[in-house]
Amino acid sequence: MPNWPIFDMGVIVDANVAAEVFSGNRTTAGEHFRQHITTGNGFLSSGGKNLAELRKLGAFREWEKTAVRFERLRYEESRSVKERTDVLAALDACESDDEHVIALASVGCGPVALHQ
Amino acid sequence: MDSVTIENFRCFGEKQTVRLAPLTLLVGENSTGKTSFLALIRALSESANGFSVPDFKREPFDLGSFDDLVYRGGGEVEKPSYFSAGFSRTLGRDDRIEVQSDYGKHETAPFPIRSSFSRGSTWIENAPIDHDAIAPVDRDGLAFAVGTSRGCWRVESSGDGDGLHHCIPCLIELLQDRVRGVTGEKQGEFVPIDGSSPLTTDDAQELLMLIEELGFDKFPRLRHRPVFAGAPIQSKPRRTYDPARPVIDPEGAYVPAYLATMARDAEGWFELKAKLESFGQEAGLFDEIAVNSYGDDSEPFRIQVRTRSESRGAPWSNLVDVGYGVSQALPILTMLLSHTHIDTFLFQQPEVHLHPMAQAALGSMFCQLARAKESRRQLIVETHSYDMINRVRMDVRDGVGGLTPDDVVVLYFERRDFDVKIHEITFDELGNLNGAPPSYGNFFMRETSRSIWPDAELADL
Repeated sequence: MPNWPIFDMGVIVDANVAAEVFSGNRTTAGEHFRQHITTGNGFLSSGGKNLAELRKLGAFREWEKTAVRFERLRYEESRSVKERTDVLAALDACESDDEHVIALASVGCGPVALHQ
Repeated sequence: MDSVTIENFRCFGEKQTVRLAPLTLLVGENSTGKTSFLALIRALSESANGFSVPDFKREPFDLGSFDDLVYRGGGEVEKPSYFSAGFSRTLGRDDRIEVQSDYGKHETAPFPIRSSFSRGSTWIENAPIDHDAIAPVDRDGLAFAVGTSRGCWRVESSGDGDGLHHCIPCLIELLQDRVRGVTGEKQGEFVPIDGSSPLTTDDAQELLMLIEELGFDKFPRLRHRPVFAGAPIQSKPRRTYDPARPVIDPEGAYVPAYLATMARDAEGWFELKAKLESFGQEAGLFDEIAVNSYGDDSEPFRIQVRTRSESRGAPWSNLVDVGYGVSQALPILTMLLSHTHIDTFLFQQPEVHLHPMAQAALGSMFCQLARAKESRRQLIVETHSYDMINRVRMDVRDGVGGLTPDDVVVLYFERRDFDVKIHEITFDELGNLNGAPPSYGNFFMRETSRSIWPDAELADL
C-alpha cells in the first residue's frame, strides 16, 4: 500500500471512478485507496449530488453503513454543496461538469484533497 | 461534572483532561480502564460531597489498595509515589469550579496529600508544609494557601494531629473560620506570599463565596449530590419475593420490593408503570407489567409481565419465565425512571442480555434523560453496544426531543503500549463523528470490508 502524502485528510471520490474503488472490478490503485479510507488514516467526504451518485453502487451503500459510524465517512451538508455548485456553474469556471465535486471540496471543513 | 483530569492512575500514565457531557458513553477494548474511570468519578463525587477519603473498594467497584491504583507503567520505570485526579463543574457562563487532588499512600490506602479548589482567580490549596514530602503521608503539619486576584497568602494549621485536618471538607472549614476572622487580631495569620498585600475583607469575601459554592460551609451531607453506580450484572430474578424495605443497591436486588411498594400507591404506580411499559414496548421486552401479591401487603408477591397478542388475552408470565433481558433491564429502568433525587448515574454495560433493538431503545432513553437539563442529571455509561451508540448518534442528528451535539460525548479508550489515551468523540447534526482516531472502529471496518469484498487483501493495521 502506498504512503499517501498527507494523512488524516478527507478525500473525495468522483462517481466516474467510484467503481474502481468500491465495485467487484476494483483496480489496484482503487483497492489501495479503499484500504486507505477503510482501515488506514484517511476518510471519505461526500454530500449532495456526489453522495447520491455513490449510493448507486450497492457495495458503497454497504460500506457507508459502517463507515459513517466510525468517522470513515463524513457527510457534508447537501444544501451548502448545492448552493456552491450553482455558484460555480453560473461562473462557468469549470472546464468539466464537475462543479459539484469542486463545491463539495470547498464546503468540507478541514483539509480536503481531490483524487481521481 | 464537566471534565475529569487524571494522571498516574491505574492504566492512565500521562496527565489527561476529558470532557463529560450530560450523557457520556465510555467505549474501548477490554481492560482499557473504563471501569476504573467510572470508579474514579464516583470517588471524586463523593470526596467533593464531604467524604474525606475516596473509597475505591466499595461495591460495585473494587480497585484494590493504593499500590493497585497508582500507574504501573512498564519496563524498569519506577512506580509513581502518588496519583492525581480532579474535576471541573460549570456554574455559569465563563464561571467554573475546578478541584484537583494528589493522592499518596497512607498505610495501604490512597490519601489526599494535596488538594486545590479554584474558581476564576480565587483559589484554596492545602498541601504538606514540606512540599517534597509526598509519601509517606505526614498526617500532621498541613498548610493552606489561598489566593485571589489581589494576591496569595499562606495559613499554617496547628498540626495537632486530631485527624480532622486531613479531611478535605474540614480543612476548608478551618480555613473558612480563619477567613471569617479576618477583621481583628487574626488577620496576621494570613502570611502574604510573593510580596502580596495583607488580606482584605474583599479577599475574604471572595474566598467565602468559593467555600460556599463548594458546599463546605454547611454540613456536607446536606449538600450531597447522590451518585448511583450500577453493577455489570443485575440480580437474578426470583419466582416470588418477600416484602422488604427497599434499599438501593448496585445490583438492583431492591427493585422488586420497590415496585411492590410503589404498586400500593395507585397514583405513583400508574405513572411508573406507564413509563416502564412504554420502554418495554419500544424495546420489544414486554407490553405490560404487574406486581401481584399472594395476600395482603405482608405476604410474598411476584413480578409478572406479558406481551399483548393481537387477539388479546395473552397470558401473564413470571419474571423468571421470560428472557433474562427483562430482569436485567428492569432494575436499570426503575432506577432511571424513579429516583429523581440522584444526580449522577454510572452504568456498566447496561446492554447485557438485551437484543440490539432493546439496546438501541436504551440509548434513546439515556438521551432523553440527559437532555432534560432541568433535572441536572448526568449519565455516564460504559458500553460495548455499538447499536446503542449508533442510536444515540442518530438521535443527535435528528435532534430528538431537542437533543443537541453538546449533550453527548463518547470517550474512546485507546490502548497505547503501557498507557491508555482517552479520545473525545462527538456527533454533529449531519450524523458525523468528530475526533475519532484511526483505530476507532477498525475491527468493524475490517469485518465490513471482509463481508463486502471477501477477495480483498486487508491492510495491516
